[in-house]
Amino acid sequence: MFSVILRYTTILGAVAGVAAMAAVMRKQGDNELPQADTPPVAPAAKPFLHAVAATGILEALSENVAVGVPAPGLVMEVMVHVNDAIEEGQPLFRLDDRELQAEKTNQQAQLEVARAELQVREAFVEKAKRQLGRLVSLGDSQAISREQLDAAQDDMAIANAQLAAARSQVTAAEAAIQRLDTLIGRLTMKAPRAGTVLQVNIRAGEYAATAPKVPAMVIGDTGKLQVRADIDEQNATRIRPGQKAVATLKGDPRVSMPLEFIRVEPYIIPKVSLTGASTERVDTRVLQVMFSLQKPADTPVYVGQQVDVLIEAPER
Amino acid sequence: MIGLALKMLFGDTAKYLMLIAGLFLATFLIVQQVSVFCGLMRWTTSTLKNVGAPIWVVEERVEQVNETNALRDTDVARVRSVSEVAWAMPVFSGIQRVRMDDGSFKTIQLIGIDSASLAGAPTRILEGTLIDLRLPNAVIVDELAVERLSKGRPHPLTLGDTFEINDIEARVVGICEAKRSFTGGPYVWTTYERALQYTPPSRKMLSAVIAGPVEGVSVDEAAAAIEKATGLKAFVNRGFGENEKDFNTSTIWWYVRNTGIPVSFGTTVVIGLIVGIAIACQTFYAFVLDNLMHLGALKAMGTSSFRLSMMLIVQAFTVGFIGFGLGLAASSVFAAGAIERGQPPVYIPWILPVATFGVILAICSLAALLGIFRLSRFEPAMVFRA
Amino acid sequence: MATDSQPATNGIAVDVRGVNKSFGSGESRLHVLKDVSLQARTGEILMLVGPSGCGKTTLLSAIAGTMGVDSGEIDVLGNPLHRMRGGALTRFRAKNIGFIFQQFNLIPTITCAENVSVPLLIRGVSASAAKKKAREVLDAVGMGDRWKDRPGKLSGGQQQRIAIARALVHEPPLVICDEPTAALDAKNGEIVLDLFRQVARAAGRAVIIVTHDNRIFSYADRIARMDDGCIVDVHRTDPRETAHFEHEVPH
Repeated sequence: MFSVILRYTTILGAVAGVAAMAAVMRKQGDNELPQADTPPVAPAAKPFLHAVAATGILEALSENVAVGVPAPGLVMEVMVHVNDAIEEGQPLFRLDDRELQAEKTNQQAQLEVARAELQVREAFVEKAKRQLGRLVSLGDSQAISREQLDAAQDDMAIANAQLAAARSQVTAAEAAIQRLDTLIGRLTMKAPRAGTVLQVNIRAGEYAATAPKVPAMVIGDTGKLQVRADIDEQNATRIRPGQKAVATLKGDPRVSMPLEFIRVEPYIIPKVSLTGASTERVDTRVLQVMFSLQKPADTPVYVGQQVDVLIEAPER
Repeated sequence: MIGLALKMLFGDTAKYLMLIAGLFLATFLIVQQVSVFCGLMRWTTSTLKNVGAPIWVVEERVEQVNETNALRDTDVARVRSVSEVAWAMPVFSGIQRVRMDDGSFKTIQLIGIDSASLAGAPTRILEGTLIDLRLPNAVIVDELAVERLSKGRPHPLTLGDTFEINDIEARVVGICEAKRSFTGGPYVWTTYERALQYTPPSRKMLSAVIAGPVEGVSVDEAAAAIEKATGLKAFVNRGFGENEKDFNTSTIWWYVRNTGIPVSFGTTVVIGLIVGIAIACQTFYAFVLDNLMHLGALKAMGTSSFRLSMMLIVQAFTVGFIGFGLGLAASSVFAAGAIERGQPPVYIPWILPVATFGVILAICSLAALLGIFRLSRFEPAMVFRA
Repeated sequence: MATDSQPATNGIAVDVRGVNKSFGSGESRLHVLKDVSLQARTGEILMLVGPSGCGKTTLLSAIAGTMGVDSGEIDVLGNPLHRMRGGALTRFRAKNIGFIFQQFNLIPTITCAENVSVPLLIRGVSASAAKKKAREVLDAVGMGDRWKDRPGKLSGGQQQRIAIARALVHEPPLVICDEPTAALDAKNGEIVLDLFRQVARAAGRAVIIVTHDNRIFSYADRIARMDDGCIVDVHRTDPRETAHFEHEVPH
């Protein structure tokens, strides 16, 4: 009896074991993670059969102008705001000019003094002229001596010379004022060209240095953008002028923008990481290629934005 | 006669149990040990399962996924420049430390993926949404992280909770399913850029580039093209197999070659085999000896040697199958428990039970052969000599 | 086929002519059967008697087709065993010979009915048909009620009856029997031998019994005495002695 129970128990156990193993293996199969063949957000389709990929950054077409100052100084007033459209010559910001203004006031007083002196000298000339005229009108009379006439003529010459000196004094004072005006005018930064204010890194009251870490103000033409593409030096040989290229926005691969070749920067430079890392790292050397970009109508794009660039290139 | 053979077998309860026990032990030791070994080896490739991509591109001297030399940032563009590649994205993978509220540290496997395409993102999100990974300081953690990082919290780690990776805040926006890593740390996903912020800076940070082939090009062709064009090493990511260009295969073989793991498991398997062979063959031989007079009588009564051999084979294979089945039962109970708890590592490739069955049949064949050999030396006339 | 031929004509079931058999070689060579000739007829019980080591078991083995001989001829039921080999010999045994071994050699792990059905199973009869027939034969030997029991539960005499049933179940023309009473007490021995006589007489079989138990000599129709590998003499037994036994056999 025991052996019969044992026999069927073991056989049943064996069959159950095989079934259990099959079940465990099925469960194990279910636990497997699904294969991910494509990213969750589909990347942009390659527009070219053979292409060189690069990362790029958007710039204004004019190439961004970092506005500098002629002399270090305190900022008194910032006349424009970020994103303002500006005309050529429009004042951007003004540095502290009080010292020059004070000097100018002083110079103006000096000018007044010189002018007064000039008037005094003109009076003296008149006086000498009259005296000389009176003596000449008396003629060769014994009434005046030869010495008297000579003295009057000398006075006249001296008075004239003094007048010329006083005149020069006025001119000099006027020139000094003009110089100060020029110096004062220089402390007001003006737009070198029409465009848009892209960045304002300075506020009234701050000190503007001549060689700052960040430019005080960046101006560019955002009406038309260009892309500066970094191409790994190993792919540099595949780049030719005039190649077709397409840029897609990093973060939104659906927005794809056709590019037009402008030029290749002839000097290969160390790449500065564009990936937004906490520290910049020199990574490799890159060839920079410039492309102009037609802004897409429906999506706003911004200067400084990163793009993925695909450049049609011959097969390696 | 087959029925008779089975009745003879089952009738001898003690020997039957002994035979079953030997084969059960052999089966259990082999299946259990090999499955734990396979599980452990699979853990070494967890990153490849969790960060799914058809192609992994790594530095040319890299052999396994847990130990990568960093690439240069522009290598992503170089891989993308290969004509056969449809997409290529950066991946950061590194072990980082999480500081707990009580001041203790836990290691995690930090994964940084491309924020735009989210290539390499977890495939099974249990809570939260994947897209939220683009939010500031967002991370997606796996279930193990919930278990590990919940210590000292009023409630288990959930969406919106924060912790610190290298003193930088991380906010949980998703909980996902992931395979456990060999190093034991839970997986934490974030974007590539943020992963670099979480990690102390070094000159090169890009662990690998994951890529996919363009339509109409096979994964293997694309990988070969990447290697040719970039000089980097491009592995396919299908799973362990014979393909040397598969990262799973390469990684597992690296561990087999460079660690003592296979030796320790192999020893147990060999012991299981020896125990199985010893018990099964010895017991079966004793069983044949015990029944020698009866088998001899059968031979004298006109049973052909072939038929007697078949009887022995049936007997041996019967205990073989039953011992094997019971061994599988025990192994599957063990495996089911391990899969449920996630510990210890267990993976049973379909070949394992099949091969074990083959081994058990071989043991049984050997036992039967010994019996057949013994019986062949038994002349039927010997029955007459008491 | 020769093995399928019916018992030989003129009542000779076994015809042994000039058989020699020796074991070993060189110095230790043992000449066991020396030019032995013997006949067994259908319907008779032939006993081979003699001291231990006289060669009677060897002769029995040769007649049963379980052992080849060095020279001489053995015709069993018209089949020339000395010319048969391997499979043919095996098939011959399965069909024509019923074996009763000294230790019965019943398989202890199966029931009596199953034990009895073994020769039928060997011949390829289905298990159920074999069992049915086995129970009939068990009834015939008076063990019908114990068919479900394992042999280990039975007494020596009962086991011997099971063994006899097994030897007869496939209705062989020749029954070979080795020391049938060695494991039995006197009473059981008589019961068993009475059964033998019924078996032999009833179906016209030949029964060859090897024994050295002189208590049962009287059950034989003929007794062949052997000594040192030779048949010393063959003689008929006194029928009156056997008659004396017959009254005491219970039914």
